[in-house]
Amino acid sequence: MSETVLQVQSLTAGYVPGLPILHEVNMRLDKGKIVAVIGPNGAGKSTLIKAIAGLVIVEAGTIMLGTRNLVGIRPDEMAIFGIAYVPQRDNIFKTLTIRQNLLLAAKRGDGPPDDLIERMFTLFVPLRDKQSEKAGRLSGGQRQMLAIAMALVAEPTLILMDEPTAGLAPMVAEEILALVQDIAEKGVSVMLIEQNVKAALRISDRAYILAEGRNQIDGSPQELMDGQVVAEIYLGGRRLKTS
Amino acid sequence: MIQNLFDGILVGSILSLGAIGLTMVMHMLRFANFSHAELLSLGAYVALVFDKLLELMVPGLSQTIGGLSLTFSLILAIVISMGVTGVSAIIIDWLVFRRIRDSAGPLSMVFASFGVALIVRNLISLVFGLKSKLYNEEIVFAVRVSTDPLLLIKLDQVFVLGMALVIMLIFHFVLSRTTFGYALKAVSENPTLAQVNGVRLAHMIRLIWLIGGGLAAVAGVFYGLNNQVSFLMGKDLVLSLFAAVIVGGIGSIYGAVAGGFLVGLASNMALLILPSGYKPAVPFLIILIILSIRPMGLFGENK
Repeated sequence: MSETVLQVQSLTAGYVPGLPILHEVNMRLDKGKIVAVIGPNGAGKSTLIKAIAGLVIVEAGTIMLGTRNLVGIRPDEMAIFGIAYVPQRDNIFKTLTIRQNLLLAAKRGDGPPDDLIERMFTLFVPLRDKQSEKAGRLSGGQRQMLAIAMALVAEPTLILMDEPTAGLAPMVAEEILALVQDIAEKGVSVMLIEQNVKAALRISDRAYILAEGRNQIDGSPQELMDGQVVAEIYLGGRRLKTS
Repeated sequence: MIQNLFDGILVGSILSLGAIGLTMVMHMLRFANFSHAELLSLGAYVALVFDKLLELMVPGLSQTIGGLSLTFSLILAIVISMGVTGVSAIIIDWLVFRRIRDSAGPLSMVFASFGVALIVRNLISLVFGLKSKLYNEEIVFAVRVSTDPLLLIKLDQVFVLGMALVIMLIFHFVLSRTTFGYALKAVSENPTLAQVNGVRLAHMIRLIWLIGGGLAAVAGVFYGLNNQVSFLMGKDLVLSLFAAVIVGGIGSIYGAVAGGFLVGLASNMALLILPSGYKPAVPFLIILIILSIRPMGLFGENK
């Protein structure tokens, strides 16, 4: 049986006290697995990821990382628990160079920052050549690459990714999704919010569908693709071909 | 003309020091802090107090350095004043601004800053009186560097300019070479992202007040050395400081330095063609000109 890394139970959270966006949401993520959270705009997907990252007000429920409840932990302390968060936009510091971005993120890690950064340059070769350039000059795909490298550099056990392919050209988006799969194969658990439902279901091990801040359906990608709701809402009434 | 140029650079260096803290606070805490200039006054008076105290405690420290009117005790007093003013800025934030930003909007913060400015200014006048003071009562004559064109410079002014540039260079080194500097820039650019990258926001806010207050104290002492120490210093400088920050681009530390020099130079060079009574209007004119060309300021980010 897989080891559960993250378990969200009856989570009620939002930006303003007394006005929750999420209502009693539940989800689970196992070690080295990818969980996709999908749903229409305004479903509360980003709020869920921000709640786990400690960025919104949790009114009720628990967010268990192993045996530790993360509710009340500050965002800057999340790295101590091996959690990294890649926001959807503005996920790099444009005024810093690529190396400075990584150096700042590497301070959360255990090893010498230079060694941790070197590992990232081995993984993301295009970043090495541009390490002295301001991050604001990178292309959309390269920015996303840097954002993921910033999350990975401190060697987290769990990465929260909010629409990492948003606004990217299809080929670049594919590269990023392949990268997400590589990360999971290395034993890092990934929680992925993705607008592209087909792509999300293709690479994830389990998916949760949220609507109006509540759990609607969850299951393996195959179960969801075979189900009527996903097919009708997201896939235009067609069942997905899986082979 | 060369005299105005030198005076402009000198005033510019003082404004730059004061504007660095203001731009950091304005960008990070998202409010126009009209009480920042009062930290210059506070710093100048704290240095005055410790200068006299140190002179009394260790008479040997009252010796002047070289041809300067500056004494060893004042040098030590400046360092102490940087700390005291920085800590005072943190206390003011804790007492006033932190409570307001937790429960109200930026406009409330702006109004509160007017209140803080009035309280600090009046407290200073209550304690030290309305009469201006000098760090050293001895008259220091300016050196005639050139006769045609006429250029008179006091050694104190050279010291002030040199020290201001050294402090700015040290600050540049910290910003561009240390992880603390990257964190400072990161917080200015995107506080939420900085947080998720392990930067503790509350800690950085305290550091920004400490640094901003410390630099304001130095600027206040330098302004006092160049002119007089008066409880009205903050009131006189507030608009020039805001002009420096806005012209340089809110949030840009290098912009604040450039803006400070630009405002200082323009205000002094304007005296060549304008009666001195119009000098206070020059910073506004610079704001209008720069913002009509670059609405985000010289070094500001395009939103």
